[in-house]
Amino acid sequence: MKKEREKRLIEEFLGGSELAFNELVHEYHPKIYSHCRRMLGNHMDADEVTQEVLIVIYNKLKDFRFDSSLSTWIYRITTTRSLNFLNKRKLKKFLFLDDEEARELNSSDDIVADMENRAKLEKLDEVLQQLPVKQREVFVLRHFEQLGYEEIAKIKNKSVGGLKANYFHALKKVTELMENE
Amino acid sequence: MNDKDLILKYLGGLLEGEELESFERKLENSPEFSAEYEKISSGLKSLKATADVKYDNRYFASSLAKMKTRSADSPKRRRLIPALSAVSFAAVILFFFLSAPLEENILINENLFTDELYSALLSVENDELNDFIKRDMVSHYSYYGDLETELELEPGDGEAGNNSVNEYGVPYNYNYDVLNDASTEEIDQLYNTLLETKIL
Repeated sequence: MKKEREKRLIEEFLGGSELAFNELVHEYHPKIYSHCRRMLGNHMDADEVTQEVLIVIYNKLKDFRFDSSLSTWIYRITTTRSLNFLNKRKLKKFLFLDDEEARELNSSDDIVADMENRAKLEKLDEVLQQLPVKQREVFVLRHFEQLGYEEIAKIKNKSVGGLKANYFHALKKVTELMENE
Repeated sequence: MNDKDLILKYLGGLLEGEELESFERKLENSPEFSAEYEKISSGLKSLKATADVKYDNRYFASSLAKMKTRSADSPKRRRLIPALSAVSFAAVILFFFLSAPLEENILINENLFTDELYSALLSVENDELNDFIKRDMVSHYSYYGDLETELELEPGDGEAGNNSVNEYGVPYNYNYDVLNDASTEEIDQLYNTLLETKIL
């Protein structure tokens, strides 16, 4: 049912309907942002990568052949772009080009307005940013986005065994971090 | 495996068959284990609850509009950036190729000039090699103390009395330029001997 609806919306978008694209993205947009936010740890970077992902979807949707589900395809783009961004950030940091100050200043532009939710996010960012990237990615996809190992394996093109091992280590690290709080 | 790891494996879906059954029996029968399980699993649930954040929905509407503007602006920029990246990448590769040392120099300057090698040279029981070292290379050494006795050499000047050696038994003021004057053939001969005597 969902697949049929998505297929219809893609066809309408390819036929020139911007509304169809808006409708299609409406469901995935918060998921994309949440994934980026959890991976990157702040609004500014998450916003940039979310924009990038939306642009890729907008431009590449014509090539989507339904070999996988649309969700898997979008997650694949999102995870790849997030990792690329993290690598770029690491390189910028190495070359002293990373503007951490700007990120901190722009944290006031966060899209979480109330204090309670902001405190929740800060706590989450604090824990997640201490996980190694591969573990963080699997942990985010499995623990927060509730995806099964099979689905994550399709997104990441990795073996289920390797993902399970990464998730186990992530769980271990997270519980240690929470114990030390 | 300790209880915590077992619980985390269970939560991670890594237990199967006999291991899973055994875990479930333990969970049912051991109050301590059950308490540990509750503690860990409720901690993880509370973390999951922190992700239940309410975002401002206006952001998503404006973000979509912003994306469409960016998408319309970006083709020129996107053509330029890959081109510049490719040129930079090629320049970096070229730099590495041009600045890479020749294989011969690597052998002489890097592989052979190590403390491990010198230490090995001192310990080898190979007359041919010892002769080679003493005959052709000894005049370039500047060393003292126990090493003078070991190789039956005249004391070096200036540093006598200083017995500081590193973990390989090499004096800290050991002259690493010792093989600079050796010919390539000599180096090869030394290298082959070391290979034959399984030092390298």
